[in-house]
Amino acid sequence: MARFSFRRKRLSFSEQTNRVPSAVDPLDFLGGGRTASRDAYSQIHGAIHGVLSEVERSIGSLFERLRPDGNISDRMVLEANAELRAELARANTFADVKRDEMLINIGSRLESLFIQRLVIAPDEEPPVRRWTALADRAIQRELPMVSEPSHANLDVSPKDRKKRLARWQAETDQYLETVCLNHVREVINGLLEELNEYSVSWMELVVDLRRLSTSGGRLYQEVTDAEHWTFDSDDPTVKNLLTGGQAQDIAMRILGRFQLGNQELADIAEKVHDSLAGKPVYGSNRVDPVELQELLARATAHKIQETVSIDTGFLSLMSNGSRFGEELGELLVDMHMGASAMEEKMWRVGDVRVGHVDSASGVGITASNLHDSVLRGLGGGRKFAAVEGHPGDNHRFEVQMSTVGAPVSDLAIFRDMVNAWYAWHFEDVRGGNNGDTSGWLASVSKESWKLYPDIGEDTGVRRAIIELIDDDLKKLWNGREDIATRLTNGSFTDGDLLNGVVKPQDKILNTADPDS
Amino acid sequence: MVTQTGRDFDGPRAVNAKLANRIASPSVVIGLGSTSCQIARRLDEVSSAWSFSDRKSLGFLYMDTREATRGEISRSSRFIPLTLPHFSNLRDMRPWITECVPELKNLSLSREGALGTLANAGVAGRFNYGNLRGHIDATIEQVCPYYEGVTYLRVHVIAFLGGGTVGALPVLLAALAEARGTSYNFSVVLHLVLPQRGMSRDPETTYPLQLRNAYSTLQFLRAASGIEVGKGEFTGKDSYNVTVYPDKIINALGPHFDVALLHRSPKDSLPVQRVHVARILEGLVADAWGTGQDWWARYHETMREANNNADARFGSISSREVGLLEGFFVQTAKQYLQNQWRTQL
Repeated sequence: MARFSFRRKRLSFSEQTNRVPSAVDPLDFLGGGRTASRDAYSQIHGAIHGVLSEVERSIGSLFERLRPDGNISDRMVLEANAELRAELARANTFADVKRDEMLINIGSRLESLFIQRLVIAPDEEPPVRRWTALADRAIQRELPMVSEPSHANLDVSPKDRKKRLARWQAETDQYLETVCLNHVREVINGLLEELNEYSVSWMELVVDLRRLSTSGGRLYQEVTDAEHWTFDSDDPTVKNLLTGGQAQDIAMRILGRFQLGNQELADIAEKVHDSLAGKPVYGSNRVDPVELQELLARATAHKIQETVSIDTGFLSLMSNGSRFGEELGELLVDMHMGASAMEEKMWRVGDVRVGHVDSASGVGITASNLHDSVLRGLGGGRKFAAVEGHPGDNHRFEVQMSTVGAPVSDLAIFRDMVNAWYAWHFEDVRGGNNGDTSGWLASVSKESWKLYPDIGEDTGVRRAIIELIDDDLKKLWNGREDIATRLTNGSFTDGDLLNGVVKPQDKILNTADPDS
Repeated sequence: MVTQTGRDFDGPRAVNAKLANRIASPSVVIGLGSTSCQIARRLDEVSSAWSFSDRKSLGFLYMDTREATRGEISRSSRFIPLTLPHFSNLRDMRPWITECVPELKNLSLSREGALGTLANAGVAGRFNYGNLRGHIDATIEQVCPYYEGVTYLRVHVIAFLGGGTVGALPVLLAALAEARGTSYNFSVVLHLVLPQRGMSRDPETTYPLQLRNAYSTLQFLRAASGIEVGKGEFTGKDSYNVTVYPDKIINALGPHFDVALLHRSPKDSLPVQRVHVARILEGLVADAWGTGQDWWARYHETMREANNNADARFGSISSREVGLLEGFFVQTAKQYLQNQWRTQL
């Protein structure tokens, strides 16, 4: 009576050689796609199998030397036994190394996947369930015994020796396959452990991110509050004239045309991973959500900057707006009306050529009507030499000698300078002549050598300086309300500046040299 | 407010730093006062790594009322001490003194007097005028030898506006005007370093003195550059007379400077101030390279194109600055992430 067995025969290592795939990247199934768990298993199997092939070849040549029709000595058998044991040990080492390499690779791939999915698919469930079926295939097997034939066992007729050698080779083949399968199991177990941590961390992190990004959350406040979009430098020579609201508008425009491809996502993940310096993104000792969000933002910022080509300058981003030219014109006119009042009235930048160095530049304003807008704003006849047209409709805007755009602290210094000068003229020791202008002037005149380095009566520029200051003070007084507001950019109350400098009782101030 | 700093100036520059030809116009850098001498000395040190031809086109002159400055600069540098002979050797009523100080007894020779009394340095400048002229001529001859009547040169004068030594600036400008004469064709760039409260030895007493000095010097510069105001009886011409030792009247013909630049340190720190101003100075001295090349090209362009001096310059936007842009893009990325998480979670 025939006996049927449905038990599948276990394939040996050499039989598996033609069945397992030799994938270039055995872990590519982690990156997505529709790889079935059976195929994923085969890929891992193929990878471990691949590293053992070399051992299999060495063992094959060993058996080749013990061919059945030749002479065989005792020493040959001893050497063959020792060599075989060494090859089997080598197989274990090779498999261990490959397993460790794959486990490390799995960790970094899952970290990368974790980061990428946080950016593009935070709402999707982590792909854990797909791979749980792998666990069914990961079975630990006991290593089979490989016999150690003696010289007497093999020094037999060629026919018998052939049979015995074949049996011995089959044993080693089974051994190799068992080593291979056990290591596949270890890789799969490692993968499943990582996936488990991945899944738990994902669930927790998603809750944190939802809290951060929705109304009232820290991230929400950071992006909606215009104050966070106002950037200034510690360097007083650097001035950013874009308001927070304008910066937000520009950001929205940039994001409107920003798309992340696979390569960009991978780059972001790599940058975050590098920044973490070994700290995991998932697991029990993972990075703090806020820190992760910051690192993600920095990496994404880098990518935005690369992707959205802004090589022609920041302001070119604004040039999409229909009112760009007008807006920029207004901005420049505001600047002129603001701090340049100080230049014109006090520092005489135009005439004396005193300017604030290293103010700054913006290159690449693309709007052909820019000149018109600015010229209109400044009034007829004024030439705006700082902006000039360039071929290709690119405009270069660069002015480096100006107090316009100087920070309020610089304006305050000027106010302090006037105050100090005023204090010297009206200090208490000269206050004895109340109401007597000539006495006060005589007193000032007598000591003015301390103040003006070139004070000669007939030479030098003393009288010119006095004439200049007198004229300035009158201008200051006449336009005190207007100038104070402009000078201080609204930081001081109207008239503060001048009330501190020129008192009402000194309104008719005649500092002109009485001798003249 | 988010504060961003960090400017990467020297990244790509460093590659062929030694080989680059930086200086097109030979330059003489004059440090007036201790602060300015330190700034000039820094440039002197930085430029030691420049090519031989660049170094040859660059000369340094140090002037200070403080003798100790001589020890702080290299031995080979030219130093002009702005010292006065002993009080007893100063004869009264000499015009070169009384032009500054009506009565000799008022002249303070102490160090403290130098800060408060600009005239002290003014007198010392007059007394050492011959020395000053000699060194200026020698330095010009060294960096840019006289050749067929045309000599293109640029003189950078650095002065701390709040100091006392800046009182010698009128004398220095007069010496430069006389040195130029008709033989040379050089432009003068004034680097005026502003006083800052946090950097003053005594913010309550010294700082107001510094501000006062700064204001007075700015007024002098305004008056000496020919601006016409009011009735224009005394203003409106850019020449002035200075009497120097021994009783010689120098008629200083303008224009006395081509451009004056106000420098303010990004931080209230003397080392930062020194580095900051020296960096800008370095850029402007190296007019054939990098920032300096751009700067001078723009300067000449605006000067040429302007209808008049007043039209030439105003306005600035510097959001191109790397630091500011970085902050902006990080904020934009946060906006992106917030959009993703808010809509999908």
